[in-house]
Amino acid sequence: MDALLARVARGDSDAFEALYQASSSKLFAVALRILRNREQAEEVVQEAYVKIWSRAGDFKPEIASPITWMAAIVRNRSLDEVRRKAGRVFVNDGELDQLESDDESAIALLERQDDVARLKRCLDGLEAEKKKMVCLAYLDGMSREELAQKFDKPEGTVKTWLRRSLMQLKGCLEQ
Amino acid sequence: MTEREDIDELAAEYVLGTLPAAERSAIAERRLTDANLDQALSKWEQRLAPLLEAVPPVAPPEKMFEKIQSRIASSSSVISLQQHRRALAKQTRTWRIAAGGMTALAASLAGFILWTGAATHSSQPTYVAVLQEESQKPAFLMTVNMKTHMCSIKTVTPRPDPDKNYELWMVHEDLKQPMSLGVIAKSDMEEKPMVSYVDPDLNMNATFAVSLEPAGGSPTGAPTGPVMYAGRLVQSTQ
Repeated sequence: MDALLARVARGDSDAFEALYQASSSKLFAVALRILRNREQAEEVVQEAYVKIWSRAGDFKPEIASPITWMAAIVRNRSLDEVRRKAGRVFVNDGELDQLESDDESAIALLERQDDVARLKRCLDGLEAEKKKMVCLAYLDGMSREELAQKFDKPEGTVKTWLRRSLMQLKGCLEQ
Repeated sequence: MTEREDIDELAAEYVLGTLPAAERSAIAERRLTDANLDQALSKWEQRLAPLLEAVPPVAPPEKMFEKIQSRIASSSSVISLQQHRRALAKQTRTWRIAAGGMTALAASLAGFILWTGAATHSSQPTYVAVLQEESQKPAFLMTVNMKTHMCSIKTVTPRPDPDKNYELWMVHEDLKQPMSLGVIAKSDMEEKPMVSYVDPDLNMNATFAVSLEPAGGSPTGAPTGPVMYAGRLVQSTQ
């Protein structure tokens, strides 16, 4: 995907289509999981690809992998969207343990299999409740308020737990 | 707590996604100019991204790629901020090429703001431009009255550092270089005269851009700092 993005930066539309084919089902899933609405997810992902096309030249392979860079664009737009309004309905909980990969996610997985195992190990080092909070925040876009309700804790506690958990994760990942 | 730790915690929570809307947009804005913050954010993005493996892929809607292609085709004249920065670094000639269209979002937003009556109630021909960074949230709302040749600039989001000023420029292929319309006051709303001797058509076809300049404005008469926001006028009232 590095090579594809480099070609996209030079305005290669075939490379852009190939990049789309390799990443769109993942990016759509990421947006859908946060937004819980197919139309909104489609809107956000369309915008994201326009941005990917126009900003591919800003991608720095030494800092991020292509899928991380693209997913960050999608997540940020999705989160901006959900933070602006309140009261989403959560049908099911995020399950980190669904770590099975199928054909398509395998593309992204190839790049970072080690990273996945390492992050999972570090997450497992968190208390169960905190691990769940981190995953629901990151994957489902839950706000502090939503987490506070779900876990029946004050918002301030949620904030403290999240920050401590993140710092613990950082320490663990840097070992 | 040291400043760096503080930045790192904020970056971590931004990437996790739990910061409230106002803090999110403040961070996103600061990221553009703060290299330390940008680096901290990139690192957190990289650290947490493996979690996305837990999201099983979902087939996107049919025809989505075609829709993206047509969006790109229709926005190919939209100014890329990055292009602007590069252009400025090179030569002002590129400005003339960069003069481009306004996004659909900006157009609908301009319409919406006027509809809610926030901009003007004038019955004279009025034109409005939303100055923004690509399709991001608007930064300035510019309203022009072609009869009185006055424009008002409403600041929507940005606040420059105390030692900097935003400066407004008109960019058009008929102009040898961007024409300054002056420094934008640090108040919420400001009225200033347009350049009255220019052809109204030129106003309509120009791109209005905002650059970040030293206090008091560009020392050279041409933009010296990064172009932060840009947009074009659309007619809002008859």
